[in-house]
Amino acid sequence: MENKPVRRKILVIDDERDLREAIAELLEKSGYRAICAAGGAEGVRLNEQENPDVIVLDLRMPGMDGIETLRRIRERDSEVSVVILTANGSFDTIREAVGLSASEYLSKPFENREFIGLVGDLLWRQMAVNR
Amino acid sequence: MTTEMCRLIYVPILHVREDVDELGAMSGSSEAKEKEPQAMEEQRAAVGKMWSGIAARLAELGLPWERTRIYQDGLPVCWTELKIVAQLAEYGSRNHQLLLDLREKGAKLEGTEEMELLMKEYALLNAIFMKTPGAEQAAPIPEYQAKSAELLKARDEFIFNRINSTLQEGEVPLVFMGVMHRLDKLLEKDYLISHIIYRLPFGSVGAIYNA
Repeated sequence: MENKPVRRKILVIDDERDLREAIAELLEKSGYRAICAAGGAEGVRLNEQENPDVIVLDLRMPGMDGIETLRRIRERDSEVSVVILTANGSFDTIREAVGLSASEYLSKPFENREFIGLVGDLLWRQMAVNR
Repeated sequence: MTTEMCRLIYVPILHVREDVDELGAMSGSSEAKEKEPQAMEEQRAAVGKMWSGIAARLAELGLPWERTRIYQDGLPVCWTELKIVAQLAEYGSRNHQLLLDLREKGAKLEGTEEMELLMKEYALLNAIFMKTPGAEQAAPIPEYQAKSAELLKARDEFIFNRINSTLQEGEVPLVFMGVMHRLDKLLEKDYLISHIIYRLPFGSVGAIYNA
């Protein structure tokens, strides 16, 4: 029987549907399995259910914003790598994200190649740590 | 009559080994580099992208370089500022290489920090490295965070006063400052601050420098 390589799971939490879907498509084309959440509460729930390898999180969302989402994720999961992806994020908010152990901050708009490279770097680092 | 607030460009940055080595903060860096070539390479690549992004965003701003004064985290007021920057650039610091590029375009480089406070900071870092080898790759050490908080506050106050006392009329201040500084909070009452943020690879760099 053929052994299929395990596709690493990436959870995308972003309220902007078009962007969320574009990021998910980009991730799928790059060989990852993308899971999408349209808001913070759904993102927290999916993190618990799916146990993703990396979370891509928008900071500016209605309802539960990115910082509150990250705080709730960190209450149960101190390990998962989190990429903050946002446009015009305030520096105070970014500083808060650093305090909550975000792994990376990348501002929108970004180059697809750089984003995919960044996700790959995070996954590589996880493998190196767990080796 | 209303007074227009002066515009200030604030660039939050992450520090890496190359940015501080020559000032005496670390010891045994080459040994550490040999031990972790892959990690160091990855860190350099991530930080390189951060600096390329910052350089591109600054270029887009179209600042009047002849009227731009640069303030740099960790650069002491000492009359040999340019020599320090050149040396760190030669060491491979992308941060300091960019400062030299901007200076070539006409920007002025200003000594920014009080030497005594920086020496205290380095002494604190060294004490922790002596006790905990490889600490720069670990999570921020609570002991360092607690002791450095007061120092960081004093440094920010000095830098704030330094900017106000050296900036000439009509000049644009360009500030490169570590992410955990709160200098922007002091500056925001006097200046209209534009933050230039592209990519901050928190997870790739040694956390202790940025604690």
